[in-house]
Amino acid sequence: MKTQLLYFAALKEALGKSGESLDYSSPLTGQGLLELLSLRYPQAAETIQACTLAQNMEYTPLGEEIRPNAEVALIPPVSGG
Amino acid sequence: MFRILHQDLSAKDLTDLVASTKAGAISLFIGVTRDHQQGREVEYLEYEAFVPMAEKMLEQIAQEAKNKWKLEKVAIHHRIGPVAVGKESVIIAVSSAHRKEAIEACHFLIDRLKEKVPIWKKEYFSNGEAQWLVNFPRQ
Repeated sequence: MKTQLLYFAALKEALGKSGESLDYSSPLTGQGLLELLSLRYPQAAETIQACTLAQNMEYTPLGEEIRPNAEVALIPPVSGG
Repeated sequence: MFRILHQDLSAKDLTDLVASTKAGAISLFIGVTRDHQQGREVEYLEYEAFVPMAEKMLEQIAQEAKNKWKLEKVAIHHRIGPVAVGKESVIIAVSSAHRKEAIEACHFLIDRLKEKVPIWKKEYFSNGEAQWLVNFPRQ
């Protein structure tokens, strides 16, 4: 299964990129995705763990499964206004 | 009506967008960049957004407001990119038949925007430091 990840703001800076595609084999929840990325990027683990997720531009609970081929945005705590 | 923009925002544009012959009131909220944050001098700010989702969320919170109050029209523009101190970063305009609804909806909308819409702000201080802001730090 494949998903497109999008990174923004503090997370984009910490990872030095605005996204990447991710291949994974077994079903993955939002929380599982954050844990997987924290292991891959330990220097950014705190920033990753602070994120909420949006799948195809809709906020989704971390317990929910990542949908196949979804565009998944990692949303750091927002500060608009 | 719901836009993330790179240029100066205009209160006149937003007022025109919500104008209606049925409206007896237009309420505006204008968010302006401040020159200090917790005692430190801010030189400028930089905003970033997940633009398509942010525009969609602006429309969604406007719909929430329309479900709570009887409103004529709602328009919201938020600026991204570098924004100098003293400039508008967000303008919300609401029209309604009577003033109470427009004023209350405006207040609701800026609170919802700050809570939900995927926009981020980084402050650049005069001493060369910078930091990403968080509207609602976790307890």
